[in-house]
Amino acid sequence: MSGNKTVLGNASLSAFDVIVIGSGAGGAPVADVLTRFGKKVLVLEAGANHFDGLDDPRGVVSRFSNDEVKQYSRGLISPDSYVEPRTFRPNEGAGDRTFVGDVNSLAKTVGGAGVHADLKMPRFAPKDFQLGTLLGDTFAGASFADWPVGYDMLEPFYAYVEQTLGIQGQRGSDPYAGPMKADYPMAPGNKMYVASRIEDGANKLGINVFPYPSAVNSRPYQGRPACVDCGFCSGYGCPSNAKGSPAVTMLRRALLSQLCQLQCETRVVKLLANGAGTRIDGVECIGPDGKRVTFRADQYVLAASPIEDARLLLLSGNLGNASGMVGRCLTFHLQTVAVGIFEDRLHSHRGKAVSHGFSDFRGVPMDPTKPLGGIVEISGGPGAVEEATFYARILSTLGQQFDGVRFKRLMQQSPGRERIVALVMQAEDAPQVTNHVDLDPAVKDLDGLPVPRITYSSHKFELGARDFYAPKLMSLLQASGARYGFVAPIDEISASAHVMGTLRSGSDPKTSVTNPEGRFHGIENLYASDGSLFPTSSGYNPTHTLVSLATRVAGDMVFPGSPERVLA
Amino acid sequence: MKPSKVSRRAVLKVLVATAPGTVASMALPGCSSDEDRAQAARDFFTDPERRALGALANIVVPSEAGAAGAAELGATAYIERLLTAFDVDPPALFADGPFSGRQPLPDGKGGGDALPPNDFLRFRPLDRVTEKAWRIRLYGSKAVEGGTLNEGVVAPVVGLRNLFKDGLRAAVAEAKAPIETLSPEALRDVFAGLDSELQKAFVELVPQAVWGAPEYGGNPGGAGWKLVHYEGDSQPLGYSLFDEGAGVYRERPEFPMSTKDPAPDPAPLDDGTRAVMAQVVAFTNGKVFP
Repeated sequence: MSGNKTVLGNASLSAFDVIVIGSGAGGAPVADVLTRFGKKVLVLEAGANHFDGLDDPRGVVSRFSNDEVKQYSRGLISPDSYVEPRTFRPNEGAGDRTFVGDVNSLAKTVGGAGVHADLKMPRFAPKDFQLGTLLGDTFAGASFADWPVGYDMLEPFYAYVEQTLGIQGQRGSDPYAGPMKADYPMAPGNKMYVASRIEDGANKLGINVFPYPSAVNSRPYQGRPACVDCGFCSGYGCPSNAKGSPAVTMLRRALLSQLCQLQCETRVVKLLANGAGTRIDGVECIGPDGKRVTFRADQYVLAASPIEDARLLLLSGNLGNASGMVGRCLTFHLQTVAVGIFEDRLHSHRGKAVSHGFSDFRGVPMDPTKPLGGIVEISGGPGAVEEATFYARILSTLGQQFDGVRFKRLMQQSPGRERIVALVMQAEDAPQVTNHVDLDPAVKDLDGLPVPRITYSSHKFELGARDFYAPKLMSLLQASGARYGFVAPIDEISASAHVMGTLRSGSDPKTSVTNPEGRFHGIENLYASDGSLFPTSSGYNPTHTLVSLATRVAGDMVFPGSPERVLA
Repeated sequence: MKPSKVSRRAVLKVLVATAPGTVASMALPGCSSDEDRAQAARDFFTDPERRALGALANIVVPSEAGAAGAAELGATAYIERLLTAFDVDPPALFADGPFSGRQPLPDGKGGGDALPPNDFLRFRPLDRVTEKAWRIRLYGSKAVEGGTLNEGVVAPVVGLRNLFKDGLRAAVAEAKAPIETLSPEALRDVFAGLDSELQKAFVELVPQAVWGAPEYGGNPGGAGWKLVHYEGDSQPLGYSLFDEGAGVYRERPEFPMSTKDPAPDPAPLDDGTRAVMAQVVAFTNGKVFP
C-alpha cells in the first residue's frame, strides 16, 4: 500500500446506492449528478490520487508539476507495460499478437485521462450523430450507425458542462459547429504566436482559424485561478487547477457532498452477476494492499474507458454480450500530423499546447469534394526532454551512428521545439466490427489476469480522407512560411488518446450493447457512461460529448425518461 | 528585483483563490532529503566506474569549449540516483509538486516576485502497481517476486542496475587506460562496444539528466536549460499573467506568448541541422519550401 490517502470523501459510508467504476470523464459526472440528487455513491478508481484536499472544502492542491521526468519520461500516471501490458494485432489472421506493451493506454489516476489531457472541448456537429442515415452501407466493412441521442437532445447537457467545467471559447467562431443557446462562460485566452503564424497562411487559403474551445480558465472561475499558459498542458496534470478537469470540478463536488466515497488504488476485476446474468450483485476488487474485497450496491456504472470496460465484462464471464458486440467497433481518431519547421523561432512550447484550430477539413457526409476528415489542431512544441527524444528517434530512424555534437546542436538550435508547428487532424474513424477488444489468450498482468488484446486496422474511409487532406495541410504550412514540411507516417498502433466504442449504444439489442440511456440490454442495473457508448467517433475531440453524455446517463438514472431535469 | 520567499500557506492561499481557511494540515509526502538521496547514490559505482559513466555520457552530449557536456551537467548523479531510487523512502522516482520555487507566484496584477517553496525536493509515494513496475525496471524481472509474469511470451527484463554496473565494470576492466583519459576516438569505440541495450539507455537517460528538473540530480542550477536557450519549468508564473483588476492578460516582455521574441535568435539553424531536416523531409516524402 502506498503512502497516499486511498479513501476520500465520506469514509464512514458503508452502504451504497450506486457503484461507479472509474473516476474520470465518464465517472465523475455520474458521481456528481447522483449525489446532488441524494444517492450514496462509491467510486472505485484503479489509479492513485495526486491531489491533496480533493475532498476538503478548504481547497484542493495539485501535486502535478512542470516536470518532464515525472510525467513524460517516467509516466507517473501512465499504466506501466512491465506490469499492465496490452497486446496488439492488426487483424485476426496475424496470429495471437504482433506486439506486447503499451497499446492506447489512458492515464490511470484519480480523475482519469481528463487530468493529463489539455481538455480541448469542441462539441460534435449535428450531423455527426446521423452517419448511419447519411452514409449507410456506402463503405464496405464499415458499420456506421445513428446515435440514439441527437444533437438537440444533448445540447442542454453540452451547455451545462460548459458552465460546470468552465470552458473558454467564442460562440459562432466555428462555422461548422451546431447551434449554441448560450455563450461560453469565458472568452478565449491568449493566442499562441504559432497560431498567429498559421492564421496568416490560412487567411491566404480561405481557411477559418478560430479559438479552440477548452476547459481551461481564461479568468479566475469558481475558485480556480486563470491559466498562465505554462506550456505543460497536454500530457501533464495542471499544477494550479486552472484546467477544469472533471476531477477538480465534478468529482470534487461529489466528494464534498458527504454522499460519496472514493476508493483509490482499487481495481475492479470482476462483476458478480446473478445466475441468469440479468442483474449485478457486486464487484470484486483488488485493493491497495493487494487483497481481494467485494463491494455491493443497487446499481453499477462502467466508466473505466472503452478498452477496460470491455475487458471487465469479458473477465466477468462475457457479461452483457448477447449481441456479440461487446468490445467491437473500437474506434480511435486517425491523426494526420503535418509538421512544419520554420526558420525563425516561434517559441511554440509556451502556451496551452493548442490555442487555435480550424474545422474546414471536417468535411461533409457524402460530398466527394469534402470527405469526412476532422478538426485540425494548431499544436506547439514540447519540452526539452521530449524534444531530445524526438531528435534521438530521428537520428536513429535515419540510420546514422549517434552523433553527439549534432544532437547537441539540434537541441541548441531547436527545430523541434522553438521552430515547430504540428497541424493535427483528428479524423473520423470508421467503426468496424472487426476492430475489437478481447482477452489475450496468454499474456497476463501483475495480478494474473488476462490483458486486453486490441485487434485494429484502419479503414480506407479514413485513409482516403488522410490522402485528401494531407496535401492541403502541407499547402497551409507553405503558405504560413514554413521552411520544411512533412506528414508523419502512420503508426500501425494508434497513439491517439481518443478511444471510443466497444459498448455501442442503440435501440436494437441485436446490434448494440447498451440502450439509448446507457443501460445494458438485458442487465437491469448495469450502465456505461464513457466513450464506450459512442456508435461513431466524429471528427471532433470526444471529451465534451463524453462528459455531456455521462451527465445524461446519470440524469436518466435519477429521472427515467426526463434526464434533463437534473440540469435545473 | 530579487525574488522574495513566501510561506507554503501563502502559496496555498493563492492556489485555492476564494477558498476560506487554510490547508496547512494536509499531509506532505516525502521524508528523505536531497542529501539522503545523494548519499545513497554514492555507493553504487566504484570511482573508476563513476568516471567512466561520466565520460561515456559525454558521447551523448559532448563537452566543448564554452559549452558543458553531460558529465558537467550532472548525468552521473542523475543515473546514480535513478539506479538507487529504492534506497531511500519514498523511492526517488517522482518528484512532488506543484512548484519548484524557481518562478514566482502571480500577484494578480500582471506580475509577481514572491517565490514559493520548492516542492520538487520531496518525492511522491508509490502505489502497489507502480512500485512493482519500477522494481522490475531497476532490478530486473527475475529479481522481483512475481516479476516474470509473461515468461515465454516476452523476454525477461534486464534491470538497469545490472545493465549499467556490469557494462561499466567490463568496460573499465577492458580499457587500456582509465576511460576518462581516452582520446575522443577511443572513447567512441568504447561506447560502440557497449551492449546495445546499454547504449540505448545512455541515449535515453542522459537527456533526461541534462534537461530534466535539477532535483533529479542533473541539470545543476538549470545549466542544461541555459545551454539550449530553454526557460525550463515556468509555473506558477507562466507566460500569461492575469491582471485581475483590469480583467486582461499581460505578457512577460522577455518571454512573450503571443508575439515574436524580442531578442535576436541565439542559435540559428546551421548547415548540419539543415542537412538533418533535409534527410527527414526526404525520408517522409515531405518538402523543402522555397
